[in-house]
Amino acid sequence: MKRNAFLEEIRKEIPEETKVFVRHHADIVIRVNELLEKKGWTQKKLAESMGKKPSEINKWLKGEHNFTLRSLSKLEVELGESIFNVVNTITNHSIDSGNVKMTIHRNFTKPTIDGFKKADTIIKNKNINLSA
Amino acid sequence: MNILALEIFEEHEKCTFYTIRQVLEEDEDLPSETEKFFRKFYADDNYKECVEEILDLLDYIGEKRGANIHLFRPESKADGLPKNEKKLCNDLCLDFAHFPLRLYCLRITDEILILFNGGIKDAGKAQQSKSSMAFNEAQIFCTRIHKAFVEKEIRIEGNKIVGNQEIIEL
Repeated sequence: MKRNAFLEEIRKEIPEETKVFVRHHADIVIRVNELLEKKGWTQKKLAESMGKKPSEINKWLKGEHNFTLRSLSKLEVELGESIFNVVNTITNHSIDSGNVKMTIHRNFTKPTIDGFKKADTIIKNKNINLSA
Repeated sequence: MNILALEIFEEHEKCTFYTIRQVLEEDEDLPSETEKFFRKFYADDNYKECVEEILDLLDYIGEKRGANIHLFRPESKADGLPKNEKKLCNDLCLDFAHFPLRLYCLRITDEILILFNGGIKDAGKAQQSKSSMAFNEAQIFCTRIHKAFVEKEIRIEGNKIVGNQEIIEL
C-alpha cells in the first residue's frame, strides 16, 4: 500500500498519548452522532431534552468543546445507551492460591419484584456452582 | 492555465487518500497540495503537535473507520455532500477546542477521501482566516472535481477514482 515518505517520518514521532486521545475522541464523536441518528433526533431535539442551547450541543458534537466526564454522562442518560466503556479488571491476588468467596445475583427468566434474586452460591477453589 | 492532477496520496485498508498536485513539465516532483501542508506546519514548532493529531486522525480514518461522515465539518451549514457545488468542501473535524489548523478535503465515500492544502484558522470564518487562500483553492478543486464526476470524466470504482484525472484549474 502506498504511503507518503514524509508522513511516515512524522508517524514515527507521534506520541502514544496523542494516538490514544485522537482515537477516543473520534470514537465518541461517531458514537454520539450514530446514536442520534438511531433515535431520529436532531441536535436541536437533544438540546431541548437536555435543557441546553443548540449551539452548545453543536459545539460538543462538532469538536469545538472537549468532552468532560460530566457532559458524556449527561449524553448517555439522554441517549439511553452507553457511549463508552471502561474496562473493569479485577485484581485478585488470592485467586490462584486460595479460596474465593463471592455472592452471585442471578437474573431469573421470571423476574422477581427486585428483578434479581440472591443465589446463595459459594465458589470454592474456582469451582463455580450456579445451581439456584 | 494550471494543470492539476488528482492522484493517490496514500492507500490504507479502509480508505484511499487522494490529493491534488500541480503538473509542471520542467519539474514533475513538485509536492502535492497535502504534502505542502504537512511540510509547512510540521516545520513550525507552534503547530507540530497539531500536525501529529491531524495525521493520527487520518490514520484512524484509514485503518479503523473509513471516512465516516461524522468526522467532517462542512464548510457551510449544509450537511453531507449537498448539490450546491459551493458547499462541497469539508474540513476534518478534529478536536478539538480552539484547534488552530484546518486541512481541507472532499469526502467522496467512506472509502475515498480527497485531501487538499490547509492553513491556520484564526477567525470565525475561513474566508477571513490566514487559511483563506487554501480554503478558496479547496472550493475551486471541489467544484472542478464535482464537475468531473457529473460529466463522467472520472468515476468511482470501489475505493478508487478512475478516469482522466487531470484537472484544468478554472
